[in-house]
Amino acid sequence: MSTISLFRMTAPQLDAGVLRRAADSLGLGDKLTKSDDAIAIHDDARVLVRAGGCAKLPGVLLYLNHRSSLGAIHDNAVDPERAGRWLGDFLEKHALGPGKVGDDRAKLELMPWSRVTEAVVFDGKERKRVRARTDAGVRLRLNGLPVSGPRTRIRAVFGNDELPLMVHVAVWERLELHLEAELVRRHDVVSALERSIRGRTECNLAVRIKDIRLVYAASEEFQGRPDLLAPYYFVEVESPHRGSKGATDPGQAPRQLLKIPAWRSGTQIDQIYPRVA
Amino acid sequence: MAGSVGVEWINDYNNLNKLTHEHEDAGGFYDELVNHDGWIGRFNWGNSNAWEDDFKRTAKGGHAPDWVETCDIVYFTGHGSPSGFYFRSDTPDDSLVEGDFVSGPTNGDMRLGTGDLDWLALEVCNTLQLNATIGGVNRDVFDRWADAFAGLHTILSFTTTSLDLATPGRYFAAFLDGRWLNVVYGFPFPVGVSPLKMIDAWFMMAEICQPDDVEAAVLYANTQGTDTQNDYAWGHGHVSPDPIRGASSWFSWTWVPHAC
Repeated sequence: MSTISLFRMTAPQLDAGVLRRAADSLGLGDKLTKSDDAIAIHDDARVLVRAGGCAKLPGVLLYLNHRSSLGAIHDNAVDPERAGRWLGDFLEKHALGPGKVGDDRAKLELMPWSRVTEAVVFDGKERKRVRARTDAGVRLRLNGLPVSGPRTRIRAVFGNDELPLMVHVAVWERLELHLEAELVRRHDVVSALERSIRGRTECNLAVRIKDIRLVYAASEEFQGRPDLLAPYYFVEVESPHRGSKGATDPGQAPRQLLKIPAWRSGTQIDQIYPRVA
Repeated sequence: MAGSVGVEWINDYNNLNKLTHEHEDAGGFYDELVNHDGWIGRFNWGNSNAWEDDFKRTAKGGHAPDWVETCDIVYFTGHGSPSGFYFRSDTPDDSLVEGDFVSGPTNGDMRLGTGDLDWLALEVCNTLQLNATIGGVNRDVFDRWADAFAGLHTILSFTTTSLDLATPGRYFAAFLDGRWLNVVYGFPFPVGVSPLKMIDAWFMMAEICQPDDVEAAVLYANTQGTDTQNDYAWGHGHVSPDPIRGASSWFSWTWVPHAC
């Protein structure tokens, strides 16, 4: 039996001082609005907001500048290297990167990236690829597995200015081992899924598993219990459309993405909750 | 001036894998705009009440002018593919709102924007995939969807698969109406902040709902005197005039992705 670690995330404490300094470096004014466990600094077209540990998105920091649309074409989008450097400096200056990993069974790797995102414009005759904007971010890997999802994401989008149009920073302040659990085997997931989709009556249905990836991910929203960074299989399934009027798919059949827990630990809730105390 | 909204959703497919959260997803979009932003709710049809016929042009026997064209924005959630988006097989007219080149070069179901419709949000997988092989030939996103623009400003969707979640519709609407701090962060902020542009709201919805490697995308049309990429929802800022083909010497479609 293979085992895998589940980790417990603690979101950063809400600190108005940190947010004010981050706002300063974005050239954002000082109009501060507080809610129960979140703070926003904003002007007419920009907002920087961060949540505390009790929010639906604990610790998530967002900055949005909608003077220019994320979907507009930015011919002179910032050079990717400069964008990556800006993001790295921003994270370092305001200590916004992932915090302490409180267990030597967690090996975290940070991989900065930046790239130009291209749009395609069609004038009725020709398709033309154009530079639309620059994206930069930091990919996280934990114990060799990708860390995925909106609760653990570091990225920024840049238009023509060095200051970004959007920043999304979602990391933990502390990451601790929560439990060791049995790793559900990949082929068990595949066969269970195929059985479930085919049911009893469509044994020959051409269900195809297009992709299966083991990643660490958190819940999309905080669910009022230990905030786990846990292993999941992201599975892309393709199954044919059984259309009316005898229609079949002339091209790619419909696909869907599923997020399936990759660990098993008896009655999970019983195992997980005692660890909170 | 608020607009009007319609939503359709399907969990209970009889011809594809069943889904789970589409009623909450589309219902959240509808509820946010109608009950928190004063929009007129035209329809909220689900499962067997959601019909492909509501999106289909009259030349193909559909009733788009009676349904989707009565709204400024329509939100659909269910299954999709590069060929189009899917309904149950026992509802009118058939089970696929198809793009052009799926069953014939000019046989696409949608010619949208002849009435009120400005924006079509398709919270489905793969519909705006840039390239797709159909009948053994590559038919890109422009082949499949360009002719759907008959005054329509923007189609908002995904190029990849995406998770079946309850939150995207409500979050998208809250980014549009400026209530997103309350809705997304879950605390009552005493002031609203600026609403986002239509495209930004779509991309931010994907950004805070979907895992890495999911890619949202938009396809918008423009001509002389229009700037649909800068549209806000009605009542929250600038809305471009409709891009009408043939109204000037040029017309263009722009496809922009946003990888999460």
